[in-house]
Order: sequence, then structure tokens, then C-alpha cells
Amino acid sequence: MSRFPVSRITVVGALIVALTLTLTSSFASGAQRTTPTTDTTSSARATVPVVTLDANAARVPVPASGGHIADVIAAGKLVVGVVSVDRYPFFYTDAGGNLAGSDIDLAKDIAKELGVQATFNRNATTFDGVVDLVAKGDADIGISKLSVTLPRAQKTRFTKPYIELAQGLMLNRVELTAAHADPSDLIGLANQPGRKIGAVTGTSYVGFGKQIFPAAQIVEYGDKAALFGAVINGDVLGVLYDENEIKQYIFEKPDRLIEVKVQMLAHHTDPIAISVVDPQMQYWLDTYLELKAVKLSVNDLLKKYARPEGK
Amino acid sequence: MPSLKILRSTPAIFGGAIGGILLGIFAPEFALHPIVGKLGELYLNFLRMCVLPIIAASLMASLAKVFFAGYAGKFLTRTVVTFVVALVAVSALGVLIAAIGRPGANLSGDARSTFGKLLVDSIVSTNDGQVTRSLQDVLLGTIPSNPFEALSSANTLQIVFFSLTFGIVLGTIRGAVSDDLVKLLELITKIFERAMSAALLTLPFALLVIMASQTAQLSMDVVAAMAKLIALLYVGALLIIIGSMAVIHMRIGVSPLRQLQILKESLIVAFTTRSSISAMPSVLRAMSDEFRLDRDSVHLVIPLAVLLCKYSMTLTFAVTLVFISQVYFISLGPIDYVVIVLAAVLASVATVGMPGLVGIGMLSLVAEPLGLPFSAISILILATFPIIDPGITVANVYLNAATGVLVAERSEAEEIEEAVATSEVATA
Repeated sequence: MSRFPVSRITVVGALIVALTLTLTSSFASGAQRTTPTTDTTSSARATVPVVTLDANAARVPVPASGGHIADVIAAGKLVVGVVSVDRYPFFYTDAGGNLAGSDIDLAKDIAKELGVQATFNRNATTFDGVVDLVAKGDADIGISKLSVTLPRAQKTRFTKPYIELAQGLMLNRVELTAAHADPSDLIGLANQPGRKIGAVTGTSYVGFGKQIFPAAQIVEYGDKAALFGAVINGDVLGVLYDENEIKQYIFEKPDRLIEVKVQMLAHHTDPIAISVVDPQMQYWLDTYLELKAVKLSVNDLLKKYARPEGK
Repeated sequence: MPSLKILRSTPAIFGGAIGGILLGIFAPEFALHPIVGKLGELYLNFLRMCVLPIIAASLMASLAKVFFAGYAGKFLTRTVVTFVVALVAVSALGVLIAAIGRPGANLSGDARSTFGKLLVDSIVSTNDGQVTRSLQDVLLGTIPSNPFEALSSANTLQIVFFSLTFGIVLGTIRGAVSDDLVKLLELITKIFERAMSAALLTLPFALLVIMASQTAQLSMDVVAAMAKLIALLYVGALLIIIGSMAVIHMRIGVSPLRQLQILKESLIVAFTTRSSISAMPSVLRAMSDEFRLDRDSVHLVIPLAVLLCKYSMTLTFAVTLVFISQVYFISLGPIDYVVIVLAAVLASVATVGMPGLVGIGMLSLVAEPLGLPFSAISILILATFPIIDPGITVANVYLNAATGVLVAERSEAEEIEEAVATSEVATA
């Protein structure tokens, strides 16, 4: 005897609902394929600026295919959401004014394997905005150094990570020595009442900081420069940021290592993955990442991609 | 064999060293060839092979003889007091010259970025390259559970402890048998001293390869960036040598110039091999044959001084601790300076039995508790050490000789005759 008896009416009702939904969605996609201009979201899409590979080229609106792999192939183009701000070495404007970087190369290769052309939608000004573009169907996929987080996973699916950034600590050496603590346990050292750990406002690192160092005080700074300045001056014991930002800063100003010590945290990573809506597209991308053995590392990327001047 | 004597002449030795430096500068591909490095290594390994039996046998035999003669207590007290005074004096000298010279203040942008690049290489491995051995480990590890293991792993402190125990107990057993054993141990010492002396015939060639590979490995960027610190340590080394000359001159009346002639071989070996232990047998010979000091007390005090009193490390540590405070703008009061003097002595004692480069890590034992961040500076000192090491090793050997002269008994005439006789027997 079942604990949750299901009446015959409920079962029939559910079947009818499912049938209706299936028919509606196939109609809708059929309409989309044949007459894209009649799509209900087309008016919104027309205002979406989409850039081609030339970062400075006029922004030509290119409608996405709603993320469905069959539609993408039929349309012959893959619209990739990338946040509008540059993030070297993932996506940035190179010396020739072109959009470059590892995420751009990844997107282009994915498009090539699908047999379509890659175009880039840089309308989103935040990383969450890129996920929203994908969720609304304004970009087919999002490749934009996107961290997988629980709130984002409510809106879209994510592939397996193609790079896992370590979370890094940059610590002031004088403050560290003054703390007279076991240098092999930096997390325990920083996680004490009265210790100050810095993070950039509005990044996931404020949350990560509260999670890793619940006893410490998390001090927020407006930007990278203020954050790194604070640890060099000894205003805070250390700052928390991602491997990429910390290594870039140190490779650029190696002499700062006299004042600060850099330590990547072994068990705290930031998985970076592709945002996607269509399950078939997600399956295809996971297979692509697996078969092509795409697993990047920050050190390799910083070596491979020449840093643009003045950045 | 008079033709072979040319190889021990000053021009031959300097010719080898200068030729090596030139090869290192103008033919770095040759100098960095693995075979060249291996040849130098071969020579140093031969010296190490001879030194270990010399240390063990001479400590055992001479301590026993000092006990037989009945002045062991007085002698050992004088030795320990002299060592401690010399270590503290060197440390104070280091702190003084660093406080006056201020090598860590106002580092230039170029110097800072040179340091930075060294440090970037080190963070890739996320390891600051520190040795983790506490003072407790050092002290508790003095007694070997297996003396043969101590010998085979060249654990100096354990070998010293074992040899001293052996010598003391041997010294309490009077009789013909123990006399025979002492003579046997002295013979072992002589055999290896003679072997090392023969090896010196190849010194010009060894210098050629050793200096070539060392010169080619030097990073000129680092030399430029650390110029002030390097210069200060060489000044410190020079002051130690001058002080030692004065002590030897006052105590036994040998003029500084004559001292240099006598110690020439020891100092050249020290400078080129950067190892005081390798220079020890020639110091022993100079002390007993030329300075006319009692052979037994020389054979006791010199190995102890060389093994336990690492003046070169004391000087480096004292200067480095003050250097760190200047780099990080940590102001020091009079009491801090006194603490640093003692801390540098303590850390240098903790490096006993370690090769120089490894020993530098021991400074963290005292630097970190004093609130002086050492981990970044340790990498800079490691990079600079090959340039500093020859100079401070020469100073170390000279001061070892001076403390030896202070502590050792004057030789009695009959003992000299005996030594001459035995050496003639061995030559024949």
C-alpha cells in the first residue's frame, strides 16, 4: 500500500499537462526556426549589441538561437556571452584592438567543432548579467570566467569546470611574523578574532572570506589597487583573491614579494565553467571538454597570452 | 721529485684560480658543462674523505693525551671560554658594521626588482625553502644511537660527541695498551693528513675547474643588487682577519706577513673550496710545525673550533638580522641589538654539521621569534651566499687559527724532535 496514493484523475491530468507542454514547445521552436522575427523576444533581442571578433567594430545585433544545439547549428552561429569588462588573460582587447584571450579561443574552437561561426555578446556589465543573458536565451552559451555558484545554478546549467582557480592569500610578512604562529597553518592563523582579511567589494571573495575565516573581520576594498595597497601597508594581515589576480599582480610587481607572502589555499578552489540552458548542449560541451582534455592553468595562460600594454 | 714541487708554488696555485675565473667569464659553456662541475666535485670529495677520519682520530687521541698529561679540565675550560668570547665578539662586530653601514636601508628600485624576480621563482613552488630543525632537535640529536651511522652520514655533532666520549674514557685507562691505541689513532691522522697534502699537488687543476664553474654560476644582477651587503660582509671578514693577526702576533710573536706565508695554503683552500673543514689539515700542520704549538692541544682545539665555532655564519647572521630590520623599517633599541648579538651566536651554533647553504635556514629559528620576517630575505641571502662565502670562510679559518693559538700549549722541544723523527720515518 502506497503512502502517497495517486488517484487516476491526477495521473491523467499530469499526462495531459505534459502533452500540452511538449506540443507547445515544439511549436514554439518550429516557429523560431522558420520565422525568427515573429518570436516574442525578438524586440528585446534587436536592442542587444553583439560584437564580432573586432572589439572596436560597430556592434551589430546578432540574435542568438536560445541555446538549443540544433538551432545553433541550423542558424550557423554561436552567440557567446562575455562580460563587458576585460579580464586578462581570459578575455581582453589585444594590442591590435581585437578581442583575445583563452575564453575567446575556447569559444572559437567550440564553434569550429559545431561547424558554426562564433559571435560575442558583451552586453552584460556583470558576471551575473552573463548568466542572465544565457537564461533569457539572448546568448547561446556564456564563456566569461564564470564561477559556478548556487544562485547562478538556479538560472542556468553549468558544464564541468574547464579551469579551477585556486583561492589565494596575500599576507603581510611583518604582520605574519609578529603573529608568532605556526607558518604551516595560515588559515588557522588568519581565522582569529581581531585579525583583518581584505577582499574586493562585490566579488564572491567577500563571501569566501566569511566562509573560510568566520572568526576574522572581513574588510572590503573598492578595487584591486586599494586591496593590494592595504596588505602592503599592513592595514590588514592578508587579502583573499583569486589565483589569477594575485599572480598577475606579483608577476607585474615582483618586488612586492619582499613585503608580502603569497599562498594558494589547497582546499579552496573557484571552479570556472560554461553557462548553458539546453541539456543536449551541456552534454555536447562536457563531451567536448573531456575529449579535448581541456584543463587550463593560470600559470600556462599567463605565459601563453601576452599581456596587453598599459593594462 | 722537484718538478712536482712547482705545482705547490704560489704562481701555480694563483694561475689555476685566475685561469678558472677567466674560463668562467669567457667560456661559460665550458665552465657550466656537467663534467667540469663533476671534476671539481671529485677533488672536494677526496678532501671530505680524508677529513672525517682526521677529525674522529685526532679528537680521540689528543683528548686522551691531554687527560694523560693531567691538564684536561683547565684546558677544556679555557677552550670553551675562548670559543664563546670569540663568537660573541664576531656577532657584535657584525651587528656594529650593519648598524653603521645600513645595507638594508633605501634599497634602489633595481635592487628591489632583482630581489622580486628571485622571489617569484620561489613562489611557483609555494615553498619558502626553509629548513625545519629546531634548537631542541639540534641538542637532543647530539648523542648518536649508532656511531657508525653518524660516521657514514657525516653527522658532525654526533661524531664529535662520540669521539670526545671515546677520548675521555681512553684518557682514564693508563697502560701500554692505551698508549698503543693512541699511537694508532695518531698514525691514522697522519696517514690522511699526508694523503690530503699529496692531493694539494692537483690543487691548481682543481682550482681551474672549481673556480670556472663557480664564476659561471654567479648572477651579476644579484651581485649588483646586494653590493652593499656583500661589501659589508667582506669588510667584516677583513676586520676578523686583522684582529686574528694581532692576536697571533701578540701571543707568539709571529709577524702578520710571516703568518700569511705560513697560512697561505690553508687560506687558499678555504677561499676556493669555501670549506673550513677542507682547510683544517693544513691549518693543523701550520700550527704544530710552523707556530711551534703543542701538537696534542692543537689537534684537539682546531677540530673543535672548526666544527663548533662557525664564525662565518655568526657574522652573516648578525649582519642579516640587522639588514632585515632595515628592509622592513623595524626600529631597534639598545636591548634589541644585544638580543640580536646573542641570537646570531645561538643560530650559528645550531648550524653545526650543516653545509653553509642549508645552515642559512637556521636563522629562522631566531629571526621569527624576534619579529623579523626572514622567509623572503632567506632567498636573497641564499642567492648572495656563493659570493660572500669565500671571504667569510677565509676569515673563519684565520680566526680558528687565532683561537687555536690562544688556547693551545706552547710546544716542548722534545716533542718537536719527536714529530720530526716520526715524519722522517713516514717519509722513508
